[in-house]
Amino acid sequence: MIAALALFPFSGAESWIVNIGIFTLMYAALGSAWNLIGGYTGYVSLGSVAFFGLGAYGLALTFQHIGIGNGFLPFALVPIIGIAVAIVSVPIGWIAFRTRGLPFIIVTISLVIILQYMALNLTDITGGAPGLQVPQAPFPPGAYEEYFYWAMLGVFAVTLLACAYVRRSRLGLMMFAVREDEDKARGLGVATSVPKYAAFAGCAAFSAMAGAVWAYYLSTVYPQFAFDGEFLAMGIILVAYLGGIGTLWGPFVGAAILTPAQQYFAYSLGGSQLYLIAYAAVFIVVMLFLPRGVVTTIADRALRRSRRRKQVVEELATAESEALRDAPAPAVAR
Amino acid sequence: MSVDGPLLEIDALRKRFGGIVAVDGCSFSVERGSITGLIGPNGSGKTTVLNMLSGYLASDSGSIRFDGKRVARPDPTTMYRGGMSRTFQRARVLPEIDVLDNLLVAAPKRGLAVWGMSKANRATVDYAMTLLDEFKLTRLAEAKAGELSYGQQKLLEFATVLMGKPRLVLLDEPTAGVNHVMVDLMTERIREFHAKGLTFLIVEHNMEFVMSLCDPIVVLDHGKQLFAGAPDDVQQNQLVLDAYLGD
Repeated sequence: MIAALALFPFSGAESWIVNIGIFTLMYAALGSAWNLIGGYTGYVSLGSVAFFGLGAYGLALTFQHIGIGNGFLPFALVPIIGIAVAIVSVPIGWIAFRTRGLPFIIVTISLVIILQYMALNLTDITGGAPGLQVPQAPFPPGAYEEYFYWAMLGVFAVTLLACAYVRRSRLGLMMFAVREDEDKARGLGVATSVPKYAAFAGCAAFSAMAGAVWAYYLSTVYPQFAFDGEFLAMGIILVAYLGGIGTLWGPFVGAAILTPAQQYFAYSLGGSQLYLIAYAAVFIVVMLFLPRGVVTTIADRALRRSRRRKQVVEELATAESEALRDAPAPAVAR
Repeated sequence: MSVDGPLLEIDALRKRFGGIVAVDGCSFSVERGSITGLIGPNGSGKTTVLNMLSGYLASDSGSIRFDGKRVARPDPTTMYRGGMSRTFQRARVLPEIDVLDNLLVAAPKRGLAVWGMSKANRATVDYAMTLLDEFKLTRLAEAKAGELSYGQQKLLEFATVLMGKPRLVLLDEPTAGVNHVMVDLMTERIREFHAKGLTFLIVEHNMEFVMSLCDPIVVLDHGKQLFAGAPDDVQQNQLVLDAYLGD
């Protein structure tokens, strides 16, 4: 699947299509990163955008203070920014994890707002409202989009790999236990802070990596877009919900539906805010017909079909023993 | 590790919620290798005692000694790892993950082992499968725990807490809402693990179940011990009868 995605730019697609591809992969990466904390661990965080913005500003600030050239080298910086932001996220998590449920959502959205205000007002560091410029990458015009496409694909692939690891590992099992019933999990000897911090920091790292690539691609960072508490914050969660929370490919499927739809509406409905209404309509339609997300609904149907087949065989085999075990119910007076 | 003395000793445990004293200087002990019953009318503080023992609720005063050592501030995770595990009155399983995973998550692991590539090692999976077999849940190993019947969830919860190889298991109303076939299965398993040396403290309203299984039986009323003794003595004690029937 990843290989097929990697070959996509060779299909002769025009650069505006590759551009949509970049944003699709960005949402897929952000949605998958969100899945770690929101989908697997059950802590609905609206703070992904904060880490995305930190990653974007991290890259821009590195350009400002350390000359790193503007070729491929900045891409090498992306994982380092991811790790740095993950470290920064730990003390933030320490505060956020004093809450659960709805208060946790509010704490994490507050984080985005605080960082947006800081970016606006710490003008010496962040450049204030106009933001920071990042030197444009010297790629040939025809291939400019493609390099960023692959870079974003790399971020998505790494995020997906982390999710795949989580889904089959002990760490993931602990995350699921926290999501299902955190107090019960504590009573089963699960050190619940390990999966919680791992999910929070993982989400921060991958979101920051997506932010760094995004900043280099647009060659500018400014507060409204880097710490977009509305459109981007909603978008990340929408793709996860649309695709199916807690599924491996759900965020990608959600992004593949939502991002092109959003771009299409933005083009065809022009500069008015109407496209936002159309965007919301897509969400409502999917929620009506596939309330648990695309991947979850399809997987459930497939499972039910295979089970029905299995059941027929099993019923024949166990009919006798079941009859023996369940039928004679002695009347016991209690 | 001290071998003498009771496995669990609680002394003058107190807990008040606002104006209500739920547990009022409760003291009793659980001998090693016993199946101790904890009974009492509704509101006598049985579940509150269990919550304090398992670290879900902080006591106002009093002491808890487990295996001869005083537990200053019980916490669910450390109590479980220390060898005391519990089930809940209303079965609590992890509904959206499968039955086998419910057991695997309860296998004690710490430190670097948490970061491994697999959910559990071979031996742990084998032990989990053995338990599932004993609780007649093997067929459902891959089903989501939330899809099980209530009785099966109770059995699963019991099986789950055995993953930590505990020395003391606290069962909170194991038979409530469970059909008789499963009650029999539950009783069988309790006797079997008891024979292997496991100690039980069982809170229960089903008198037939308690009288046939538990010895001694501790009777609570108004948050303190009213009586403790063998099943026959409990049944004939006037104080106990008064507490249950009202005087």
